[in-house]
Amino acid sequence: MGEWSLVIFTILMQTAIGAYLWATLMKSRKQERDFNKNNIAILALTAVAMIVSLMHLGTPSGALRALLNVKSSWLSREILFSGAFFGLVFITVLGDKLKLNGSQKVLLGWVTSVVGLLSVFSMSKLYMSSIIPAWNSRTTMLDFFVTTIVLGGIMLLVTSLKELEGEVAKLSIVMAAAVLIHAAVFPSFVAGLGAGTAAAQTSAMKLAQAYGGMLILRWVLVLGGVGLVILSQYKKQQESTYIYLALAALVLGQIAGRYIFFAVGVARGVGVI
Amino acid sequence: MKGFIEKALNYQLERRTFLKASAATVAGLTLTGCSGGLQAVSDAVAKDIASKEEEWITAACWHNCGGRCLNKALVVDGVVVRQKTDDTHEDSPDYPQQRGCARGRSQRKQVFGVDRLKYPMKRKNWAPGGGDKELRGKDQWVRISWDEALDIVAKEFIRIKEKYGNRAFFQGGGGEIARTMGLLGGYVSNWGTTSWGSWRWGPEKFGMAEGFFAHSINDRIDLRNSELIVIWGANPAWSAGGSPTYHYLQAKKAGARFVVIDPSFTDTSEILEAEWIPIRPGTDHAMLLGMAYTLITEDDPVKNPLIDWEFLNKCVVGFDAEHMPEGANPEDNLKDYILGTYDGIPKTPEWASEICGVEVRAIRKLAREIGYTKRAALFTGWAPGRTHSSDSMPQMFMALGAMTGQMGLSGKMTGVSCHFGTANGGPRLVTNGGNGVPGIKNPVSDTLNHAQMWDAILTGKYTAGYNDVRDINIQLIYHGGNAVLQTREGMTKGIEAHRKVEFVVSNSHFLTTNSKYADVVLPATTEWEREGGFLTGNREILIFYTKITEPLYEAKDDIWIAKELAAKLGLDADAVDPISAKQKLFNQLAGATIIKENGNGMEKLVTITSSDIAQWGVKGEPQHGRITLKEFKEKGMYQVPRKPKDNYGFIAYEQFRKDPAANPLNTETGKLEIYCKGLMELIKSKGFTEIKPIPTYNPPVKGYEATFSDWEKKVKGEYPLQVINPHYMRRSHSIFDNISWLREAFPNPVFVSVKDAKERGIKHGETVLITSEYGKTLRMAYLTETLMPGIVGLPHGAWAEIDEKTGIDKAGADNVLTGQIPTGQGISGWNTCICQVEKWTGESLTPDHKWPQRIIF
Amino acid sequence: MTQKGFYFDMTACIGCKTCQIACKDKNDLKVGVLYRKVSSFEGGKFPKPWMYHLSMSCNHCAKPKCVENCPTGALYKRADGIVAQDIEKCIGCKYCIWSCPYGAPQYKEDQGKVGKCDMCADLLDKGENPACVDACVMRVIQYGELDELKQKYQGTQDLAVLPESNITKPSVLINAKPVAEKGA
Repeated sequence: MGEWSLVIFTILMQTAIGAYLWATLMKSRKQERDFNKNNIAILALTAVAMIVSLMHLGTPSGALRALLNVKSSWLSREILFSGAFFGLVFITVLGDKLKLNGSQKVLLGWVTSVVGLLSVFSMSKLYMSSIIPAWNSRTTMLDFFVTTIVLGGIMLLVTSLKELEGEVAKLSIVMAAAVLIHAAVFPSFVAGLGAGTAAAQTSAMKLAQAYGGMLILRWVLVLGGVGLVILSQYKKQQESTYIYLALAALVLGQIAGRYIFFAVGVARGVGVI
Repeated sequence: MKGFIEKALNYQLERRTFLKASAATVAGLTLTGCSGGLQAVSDAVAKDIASKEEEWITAACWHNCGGRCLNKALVVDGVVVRQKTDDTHEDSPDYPQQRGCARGRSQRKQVFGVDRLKYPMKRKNWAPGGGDKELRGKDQWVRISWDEALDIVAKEFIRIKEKYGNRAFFQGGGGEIARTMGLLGGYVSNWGTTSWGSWRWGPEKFGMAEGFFAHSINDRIDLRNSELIVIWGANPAWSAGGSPTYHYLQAKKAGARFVVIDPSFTDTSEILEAEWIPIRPGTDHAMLLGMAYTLITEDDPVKNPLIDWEFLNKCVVGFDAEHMPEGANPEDNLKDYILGTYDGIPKTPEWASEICGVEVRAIRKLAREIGYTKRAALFTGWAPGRTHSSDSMPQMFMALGAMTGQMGLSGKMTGVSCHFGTANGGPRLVTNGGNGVPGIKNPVSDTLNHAQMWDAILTGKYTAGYNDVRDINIQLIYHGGNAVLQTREGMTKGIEAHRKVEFVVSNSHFLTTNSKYADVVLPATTEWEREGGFLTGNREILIFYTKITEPLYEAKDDIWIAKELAAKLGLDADAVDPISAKQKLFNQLAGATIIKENGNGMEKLVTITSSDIAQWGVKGEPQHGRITLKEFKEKGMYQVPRKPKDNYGFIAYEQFRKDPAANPLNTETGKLEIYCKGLMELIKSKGFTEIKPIPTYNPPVKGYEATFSDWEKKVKGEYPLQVINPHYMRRSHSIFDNISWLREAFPNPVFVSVKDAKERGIKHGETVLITSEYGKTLRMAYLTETLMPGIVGLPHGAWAEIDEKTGIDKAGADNVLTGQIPTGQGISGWNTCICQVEKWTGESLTPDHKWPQRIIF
Repeated sequence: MTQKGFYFDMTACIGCKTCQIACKDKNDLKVGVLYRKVSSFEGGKFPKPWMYHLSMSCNHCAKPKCVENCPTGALYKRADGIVAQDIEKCIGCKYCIWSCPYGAPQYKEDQGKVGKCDMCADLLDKGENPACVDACVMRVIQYGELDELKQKYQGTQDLAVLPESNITKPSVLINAKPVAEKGA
C-alpha cells in the first residue's frame, strides 16, 4: 500500500465530506430528505479512509499520538477534524436512534459539515506547509475543495438520485463550475512551477513530460465526468446510467490527478533548491 | 508503483549526489556468540549489551592506504559498537591528532562483516590434480573441516613436489606461509615495482630516495618555508589518508603558491587553490625536458639566473660536457641531448607540448617560476612512475631539481612526496623493535616479475636477467595474503593461469578475487582478532594496537595455518612459529626506540618493569624509557610532539649540499648523477628493455603515442583513450571494496570527460563498456570537466565480477584492462593503458551497494 | 534559550566523507540512511572547472519546520537549540521529511520511524564533541554556540545549492567558496 494510502485517504475523505456537505445543503432546501443511504456510505468511506491512512505510517500502532501537536501541526489538526467528522457522521447515522429532533439534526448537519470542511482545509494546509513547491501552493487548496465538491456531489447523486429530484441540474452546474475553475487555474499553476526553483521546475517538467499523458487523461475524465452529469439531465430515461458513467470518470480522473499530485512532489533540498 | 512519492521527493538534480536507497539487506550490528558465530543483534540483546561494561581499545588500521591513523573501538562483550579516532591529545597543526578516514571509520563493518569467510572450504568439483580446472571461479563451495582442508593442501604440496619439484610452487604473498614453503624446500617468489613504478630501484642509483623507506624531501614544518610547491602527479586527498593533505594546507596558510600537474583537477588542487596544469599520463618526462630546455636557453647567470650553476658544479655529474664522470663519453650529457646538439631534435616546449598536451606557455612559465623562486618544493607522487618504459623519468625529475638547485636548504626540496611520507620527509622519530623471529631461507632463487608472472605460468618461460630466459613450470599457487590476482596487471591472463595449474589455495577474510579462483580457501583472522602489534606511518608516530575480539567463526591466524600445515607436511612446526604471539609483541615493545630530545640518536621508548614482565608471562629485562607500558597501551600511540624550530626537523641533502666531498651520496660518484651508469646497468640487468645513462625520453608502451595508428598524421587508433587508475576513497587498493557503507558513499564510476562522452553520445550515469586489448569492463559513466579530454579515470582496486557468459567484468576492475608488459626495471605500468569507451547496450548496472554480498555460508 | 550550531569550512573540505561515515558509525545507520551527508558539486569547463563539497546534517534551525509540523511532538527543540527527537513518540508519518529544506530527517524502514542528527546530544551532555567534528581530517567541521561561531568565523547560510535560509533559519555557518555562494 505505502504511498497509495495517501491517494486513497485524501480522495475518500474529501468525497465523504463533500457528500455530507451536499446532503446538508440539499436537506436545508427540503427538510424531509434524510439521505440515510448516503450517510451510511459516508460513514463507511470515512472508516476505510482512516484505516487506509494508517498504512502510510511506519508505526501505525502509534497513530493516536498524531493528535499530540494540534497546537502547531496541520497533520494533527487534519487527524483531529477527520476523526471528529467520523464521530459526527456516526451520530448522524444514529440520529433517529438517538431521538434527535429536527433542529438538532440541522445543527448536527451544519456542525459536521463545518468540521468536515476544516478537515479538508487542514489537509490542504498540511501539504501547503511542506517544502515541496508542487504542493506548497494555493492550487492544492483549490484541488482538494474541488475534489470535495465534485466527488461529494457525484457520490450523493449515486446514493440518493431519487431524493434529489429537481436539484440535479443545479448540482451539476456547481460541479462543472468547480472543475472548470480548477482547469482554468491549472495551466498557470504549472507555468508558475516552471518559473520557480529547481525543485518546482523539476515538478513542472515531470508534469509536462513523464506525467503529461496521464494529466491529459485526467482532465478528459474529469471534464467528461461533469459533462456526463449535465448530459444525464437531457437523457432522463438513462439518467442513472449516465450518473454511473460520470462516477467512474470522475473517480478515475481524480485518482489520476491525486496520483500525479504526489508523484510530482519534488522536495527542495541540498542541490535541488 | 510503490515508491512513487519517494522517487519524486528524492529527485537529485546535481551530480555526485547519490540517490537514497530504500531497503538494503545488510545486517547491522553483529556480535560474537558463544559458538563463535555472528548473529544479528535483536533489540533485547542490544539493550543487554548496553548495560555491560564498555572499553575503548586501540584497534589496528593496518591497510596500505598511504596514511596511518589512530583507530579505536568501543568494545562491549567482544562486540564493537562504535569507533573513534585520535583523542589522545589536543589537536593543533604542529601537533595534530592522527585522525582516520572513512575507511578506517568503517572498519568494524569489515571485521564483523556478514560476508566474512566462516569456514574452510573447497571447490565442489575439485579433485587431486585439480579436477575440472576450468570451473575455478564458477564452481560451488563445500564447507570442510580444518583437518580436511589442511590434509588436502599438504597432500597436494607433496604430490606436486614429487612430480615437479619445488620450482612448481608459486607463492603469491604472505610472510607466514612463505616460512613453511621455505622449510619444504622453497618456492618461486614474485617481484615488481608495485606502487612505486620506476621510482622503486632507480633513485638509489642516481642519488635520490624512493620515498617510502627514505625521503629526499624536508619535513612538514620546514615545508611551510616554501614559497612555491609543485605537486606532480599526486592527489593525497584521495591517496594518502589521514593528515597529509592537512599538512599541505598549513603550507598554503603559510603563504605557499601551489601548482599541480595532473591529468585531473583533484581535491588536492581544489583546496590548495592550485594552478592546475593538465597533462597526459606517461608524458611527464617530455614536459620535464621542455622545462629544462627553457631553463637552459633562457638562463643568464647575471641578468636572468634560472639555473643554480653553483649547485650543478658542486653536487651533480652529467649535466653538461664539462661535468662528466670518468670514462663517460662527453657527448652523452643532458644539456646537449636537450638542445638536440647530436640527435638534431631540440627538446623544446613545443616538442614537449605535442606529446604531453600542456600548453607551451605553461611549460615555459613553470620552468621560469621554479628557476627564479628562491625556495621551491618540487614534489612528485609515484603515479607518473607507474608507467611503462619510464625508468629515466625519475632521474629527469631529479635533474630539474638539481638544475634549479631546489635541494638541501630550508624550503627547498625535490623528491617523492606521497604515501606515508607525503609532505613530511625524514627518518622515523619513533619506531618499534623486531619481533625476534629468525628468517627462513627460500632455497629456490627463481622469482617472477609481476608484469610477466601470469605469462610465465602460461608459457613456461620467464626472464631471469639480461639474455637469460628460463623454463618454469608452476603447478601450485599459494595466496598467503597479497591480492595479486586482483592488483597485478593482466588479470585476464592471471585467471587463465589460475585455471591452468594443478592446485590453488588462498587464505583470506572474504571471497576476494584470489580466493574466488582457488580450489581451497582458508578463513584467516583479521588484525582485530590477533594478539596485537605495531603500526608506523608518518615519522612522528608509533601505534600500539591490541586484540579487539576473539577469532570469528573458524577463522585462524595465518601463522597458525602455516604452522599446522608444516606439521601435516612432517616439517618442524616450531621452526615456523618459534615464538609465542605475546613474546613477539613484547620483543617489539622492548626494542621500540624514540629520538632523543636533543635530536641526536635514539633511546628506549617504553619503561618496562619486572612486574610488567611477570604479568605478561614473557622473557625480558626491565628497562627505562619515555612512557610506561600501561600508558602506552591505554593511549595506543606515541606521537612525538612537534613545533617549529624543534630538534626533530629534517632538511634533505643538507650536509651533502654544504660539503659534497665530506658527505658523499651513496652513488658511484658520490654525487647526484644525471649521467648514471649504475641506473643504465640496473635496467639492462633485468633483461626487459634498456635505457641511456642520461634521462632520454622513451615513448612508453601503451602511452599517448600508442593511441594513434599514425602518429605523424595524428590518426587515432582502435584504442584512442588513455586510462589512469585514481586511488579511490572507497578502498585501500582492493581492501574495503565490499563494505556497504563505503559502497554507498563512493559509487565507483568511471570518470569520463564531458567532451569524450559527448563525442560518444554517453550521458551522465549511463553504463558504458570500456575495452582494451586485454579485456572489457562495465561501469557507470561519471561525466566531468575535471578530467583532461582523451583520458579516462577508472578507480583502482574494484573486485572483479566477471560474467562467465560474456567474459565482461561488471565491477570496473582496473587490471581487466591492463596486460602483461614488462619494461625496464620490471615496472608495473598501470597508468599507461589505452582503451575505447562506448555506450553499453545491455542491461544497465545497478549501484554497487545494492549488489548481493558474497556470503557463502 | 541558546542556540548551538555547526560551522563548515568548505574551502578546505576534500569530500572524503569521513564525517558521513563517523556519523553512520555513531548512530549505527543502515545503508540508505544518512544523518550527515557530503554532497559534491562541480561545473565550469575544462581546463577551468570548479568543484566543491558540502557536508551537511540537521542544521538545528531556529525556526524548524519539522518541529512545527511534527504531529506527535516527537521532534522538539532543546533548551540549547538542538532539534532533538523522542524516538518513542515518532509514528513514522514522514511529515518532517516533507518539511525540511535540508533533507535532514531520514526514514528508517526497519524501524518504521524517522531518525535525525541530534548533534550527538548524548556525547555533548558528557562533555564530548559530536562524532563528525572529532572525525574531520581537514578540521572543517566545528560546533558551538552559533553566536560565538559567528564571532570566530566568516560564513553564510545561503548557498547556490541550498533553499533560502529564511525558510527555517538554519543554525549553520558555512565558509563558502565564491563559486558556491548564492547568485554565483
